[in-house]
Amino acid sequence: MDTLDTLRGMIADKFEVEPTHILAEATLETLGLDSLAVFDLIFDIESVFEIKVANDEVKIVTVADVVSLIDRLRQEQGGS
Amino acid sequence: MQRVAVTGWGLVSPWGSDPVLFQQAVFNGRSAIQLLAKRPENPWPDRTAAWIDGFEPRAHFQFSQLSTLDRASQFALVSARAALQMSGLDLNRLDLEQCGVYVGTGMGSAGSLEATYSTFYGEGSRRLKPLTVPLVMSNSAAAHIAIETGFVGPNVTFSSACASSAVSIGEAARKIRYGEASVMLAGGTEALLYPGVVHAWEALRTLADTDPRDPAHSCKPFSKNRTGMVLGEGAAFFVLESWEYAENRGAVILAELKGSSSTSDSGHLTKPSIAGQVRAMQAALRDANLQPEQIGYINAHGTGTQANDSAEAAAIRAVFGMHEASPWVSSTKAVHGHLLGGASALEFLVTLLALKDCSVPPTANLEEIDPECEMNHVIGAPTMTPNLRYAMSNSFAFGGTSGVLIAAAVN
Repeated sequence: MDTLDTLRGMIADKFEVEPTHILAEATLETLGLDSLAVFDLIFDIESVFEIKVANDEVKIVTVADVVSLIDRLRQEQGGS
Repeated sequence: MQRVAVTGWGLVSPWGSDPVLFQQAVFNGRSAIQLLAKRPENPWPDRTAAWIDGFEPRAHFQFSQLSTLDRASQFALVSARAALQMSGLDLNRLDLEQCGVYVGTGMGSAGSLEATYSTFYGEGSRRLKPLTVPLVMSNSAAAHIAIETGFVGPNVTFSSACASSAVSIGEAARKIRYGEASVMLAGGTEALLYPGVVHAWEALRTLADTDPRDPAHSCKPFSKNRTGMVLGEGAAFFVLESWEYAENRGAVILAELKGSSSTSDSGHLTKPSIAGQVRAMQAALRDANLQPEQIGYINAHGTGTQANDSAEAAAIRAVFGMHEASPWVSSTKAVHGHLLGGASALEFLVTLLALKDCSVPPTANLEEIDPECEMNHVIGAPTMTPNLRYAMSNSFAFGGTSGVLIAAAVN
């Protein structure tokens, strides 16, 4: 699955953000996600992408940061 | 000392959020109580409850907001919004430092906590939702209301079981009386109809037997054949303002909150104390600067348990006497159930509606009055009380806390 597309769908559904605004360079903050919302998003990401995100990995700013984090962890943790 | 004006109210009830529909149902003794077995969750004890069908969180909140909004907080926010709207207050013109939020709740975010434990112990999962703590913390509803309104004054959650919201409303009024706030949003909320919680109540042997003829009639306050209480859920909130502030802005003043009391039995954990209830009612009368004979109606705590109703009736007789001029008394729990932390708030609304229309609601299902509960009961239908000027709302909690509110009609 395409990471950005999947992530875009997740953010759009959960946080009611217009999908066309969810660009790689967009920051999560400008999309309306505060620190608690980011924790909530990561929880869903862990389920959907079957990865485990450690506490020191959650400093993510842009959508692209999230995509690269997901891709790296899937590779490291052997997810599909 | 400032006088306290009530300028808005809002509610979430089994009959919805329209005060008119709520008033029609309660004052005509229409019960919202049903068999718990009709609900999808399991397992339920073979009992009844009064719950809210058709409350759609997504009609009020964004999907992402629901991660930190337990059902009790949802009820609180929806009713606080309605109260604010009714008051006509313009948030942009308020001195927000003079505005506060007081919330009463008995068991807080009981449903979310139960779901969390179900995940942890039931499913053996160690993956709990990341926002569980802010979701279940007892002051969650108060925090959400403050964030939404921008009220930066006092923000306190009161938890004293069945008296929680009498205390929150009474203390909020006190803030205004002493000039420490101009506007307070105060009320109570409860959403505890989850199998684990209800089974805990069942274990305490306090829940009413299901009426074999009609489950809706299972709660029978002051009746000889009463067998216990019926749990309910919902919320009610009020906008309280200093009289001066309300008058200056041309607000419609709906009632005056004359006085309140908050006392403790300091006796038994669950057994009601006649002396404690007498003390609470007398303290509220002193606070309101009223004599017992001035009270025309009492919305009783009236849970439908053997112990509460006979004790409360004895306490009311001790304070008000037992003669023709003694106040009318009714318990509306027979139709909306016992909302615990939300009970006093919803019943204070009933009390204010009675004052507004000079009509007092009946105690439903009161077919044979228990001789121990002799009072001037309102039976069968609402009673017109053209001279009704002052009314009292009683709440007597497990843990021994009593909360009594007294209001006055404005016209």
